[in-house]
Amino acid sequence: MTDSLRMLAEGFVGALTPTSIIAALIGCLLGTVVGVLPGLGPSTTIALLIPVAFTLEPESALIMMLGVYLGAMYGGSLTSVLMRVPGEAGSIMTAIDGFEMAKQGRAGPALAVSAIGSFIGGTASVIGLTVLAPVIATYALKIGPAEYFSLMLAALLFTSVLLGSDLLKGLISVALGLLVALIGTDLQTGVPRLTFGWSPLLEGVDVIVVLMGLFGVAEVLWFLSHRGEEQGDRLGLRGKLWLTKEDWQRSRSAIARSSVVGFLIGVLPGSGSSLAGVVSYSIEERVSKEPGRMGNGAIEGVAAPETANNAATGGALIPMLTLGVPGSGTTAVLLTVLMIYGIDPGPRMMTDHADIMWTLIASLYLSNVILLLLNLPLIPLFVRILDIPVRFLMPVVLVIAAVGSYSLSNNFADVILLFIFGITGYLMRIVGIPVVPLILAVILAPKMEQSLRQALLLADGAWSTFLTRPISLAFLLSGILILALDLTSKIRTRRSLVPVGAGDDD
Amino acid sequence: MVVTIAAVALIGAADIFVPRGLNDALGPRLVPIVVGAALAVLGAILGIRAWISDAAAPPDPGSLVVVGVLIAAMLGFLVLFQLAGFIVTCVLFLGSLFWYLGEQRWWLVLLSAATVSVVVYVLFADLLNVNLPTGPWGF
Repeated sequence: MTDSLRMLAEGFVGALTPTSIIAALIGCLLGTVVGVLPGLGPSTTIALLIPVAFTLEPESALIMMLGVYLGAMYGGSLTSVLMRVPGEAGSIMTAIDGFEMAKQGRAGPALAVSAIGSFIGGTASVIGLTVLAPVIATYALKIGPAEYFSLMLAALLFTSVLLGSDLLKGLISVALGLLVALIGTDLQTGVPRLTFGWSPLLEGVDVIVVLMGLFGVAEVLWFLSHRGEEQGDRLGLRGKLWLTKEDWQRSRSAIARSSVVGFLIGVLPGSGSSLAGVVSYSIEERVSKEPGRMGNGAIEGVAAPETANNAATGGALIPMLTLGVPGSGTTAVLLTVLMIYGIDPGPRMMTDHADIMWTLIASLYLSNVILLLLNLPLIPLFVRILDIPVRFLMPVVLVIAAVGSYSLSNNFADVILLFIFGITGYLMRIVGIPVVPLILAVILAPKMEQSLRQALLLADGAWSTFLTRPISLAFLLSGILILALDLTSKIRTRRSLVPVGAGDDD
Repeated sequence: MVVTIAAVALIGAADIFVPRGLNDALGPRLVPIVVGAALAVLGAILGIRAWISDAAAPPDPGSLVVVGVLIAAMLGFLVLFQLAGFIVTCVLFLGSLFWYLGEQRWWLVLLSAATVSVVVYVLFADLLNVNLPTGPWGF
């Protein structure tokens, strides 16, 4: 434990340099703005930032992106409260009671508790991350190829079960992702696969292009084609911004509970801020001593989901950082960024690159503080941002995505692919197929195939190795378990509340 | 909607066939075939399920006209990109979309399209050293 604290302290040294602080500031601001704007989410933004990140140092770029991640959770609550439109998936439940409170002229306290709850949830989960990460990392070293394969398989299964409301569609998404990942030249035999004779595909499809297409472009298409359906009235920010003592008392326990709940849910691959919000809200409902309060402007109804969605961020980072397995759209993007910098995802991440990890963790603490300080006074400013007309914003997003993809390898084919994936993402949303499993599959597939081959090699071709090794078996069983749970519809009602969005399900 | 699902199944089925022509060793062909087969099966199940139950209405695709226009704009972008250079393409792309999406003031459309294009160009080409194509006019 003291070892961790020491490393954390060293991390703080790195996180408190002027460059890092500025990076964090920019990230937090950008994230909050993005969280406020409908149609753009943290995953999309981080994906769009990737080409920019090439010119920055790894640490600064990562700190900025983490800032965006956290900031978006804070920003999403603004539109929920003021317009009953969630700025991002985690704030869906906030829209219910938050808007009611706004109608009662209590938008101020709603936003305030949102900011405070987000801070507490976020910080608590980073503490959890600090404590648990090294523990998991030591276990992680025992993971060999067989375990790794089973883990990733389980993660994919978890994701297809927990995201969206339909297991079948989730699995289809995974299968599509695997297929996309297979495009290219097989590394072990040098044979082209699924290239259809088109030479740009020999290198395979760049994950980032897939990301920007499925998240960014598809989101724009979807948003613009549904424009005008959600333009609700915008309520003004009247009244004070502070919480009354009663507010505070009611929110306290909600915040405490939701921090823990959010954190745990974040750790599970496939579930993230949206599920955290829904679950914490339902818990408050169950626990509430005054039935009928929830849904009518109860401040706990705002405190709970906002705390939970921020707490989920820290939790989601655990499997990503310690095991190299992303559990959601945004962590998937973050993982891609790490890979770009040559930080190999996997159990070795914490030991080989401990300094970077701890700097990142330290910057998370910092970002939470920054966001708290930024949010409370700047709320009126952020509200003004909503005034930027969509007609300007969306095309610009398209251009940025296009230039971004082009800049990856100076390859025009990437832009073509970008648009193709954009249309595909849009089509997937129409059919109701979730996009995140596809992305996860694309990211995990290469490693999965590699691990599969390595495991078989180590076991001399015995497929039973996946079952005879205990940890591997455990992972596989948990994957099967969650499948079984879904098929017996225990989780189904819960999940039908979670939207099938383009990647904001984190 | 069933049509789309059938399409998914077909993609899966088609992809099983592709590897056969491109390689002969067992290793590389195994996974694509497995995945392709799985996709075909899942797609078929989805299609059958939708056909039988006729249950929930599919999510509303929204205004297909808008999507059509956007796709056309994207195609235009792709075609012009290498021919006319980035800046011109970008201005045209943004300008047409701004106008289509509702901005009436033509001077503002031109101004903002031009500004954004130049800013993006400067940002990427100069600051980040990305080699954006220039048109026959040199920019």
